[in-house]
Amino acid sequence: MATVRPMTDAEREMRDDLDWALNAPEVQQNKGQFVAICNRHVYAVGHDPQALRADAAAQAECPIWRVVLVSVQADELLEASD
Amino acid sequence: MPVAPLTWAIHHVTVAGVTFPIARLATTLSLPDPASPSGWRTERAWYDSGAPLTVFPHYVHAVGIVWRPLGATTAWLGQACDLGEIDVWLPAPDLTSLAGPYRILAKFARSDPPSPPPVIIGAQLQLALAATLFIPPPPTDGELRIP
Repeated sequence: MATVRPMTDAEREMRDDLDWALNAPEVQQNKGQFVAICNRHVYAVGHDPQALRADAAAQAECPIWRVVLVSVQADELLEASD
Repeated sequence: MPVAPLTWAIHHVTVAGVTFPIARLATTLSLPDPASPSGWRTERAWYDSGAPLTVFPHYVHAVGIVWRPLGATTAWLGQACDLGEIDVWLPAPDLTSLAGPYRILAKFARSDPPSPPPVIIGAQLQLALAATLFIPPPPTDGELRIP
């Protein structure tokens, strides 16, 4: 049986970052790369997710679990599944 | 009845001088993450009715999300995957609460293709939750209605 619970502050903040990233030019301009975000700010861009998370956490002075990683599609016309 | 919103994410692309809109149906999932003080993290997901199972790209689950392997392997976009199950929470329309936990089957990629997508929600989630998929045209959000 499913229950309903409030979002935690962290869940909400991460969701806000993800929603912002959908249309933020500073995120979407990085085609084919990962973008590490915290509090609607881009901290790192590149191809190594683990390194980007660590780099962003250090720069943003936030815990690594709080970093949101967005993969910007290189080709938006490709199907995402087989 | 819990209802998870599916938001139209529409971008315009230009190919050979022709500009047209393309769309994804986007939502977020709350996933079990022991590294987070609350025990949860939020990740972007696209709904894909053509995908039989939900797919967690490697870069998503490698942070330490809790899932249970079922001892079988499969593939996604040429990447070897483990078949497993995971408990997820889905957003409620008020955008301040979540419904769950819902146990789903999923592929957990051992590596990623170039430019991997976010989590892909496959049709098995709809089966497991006995959910109704409601997709009106934009700008109205779609919904997964869960009994």
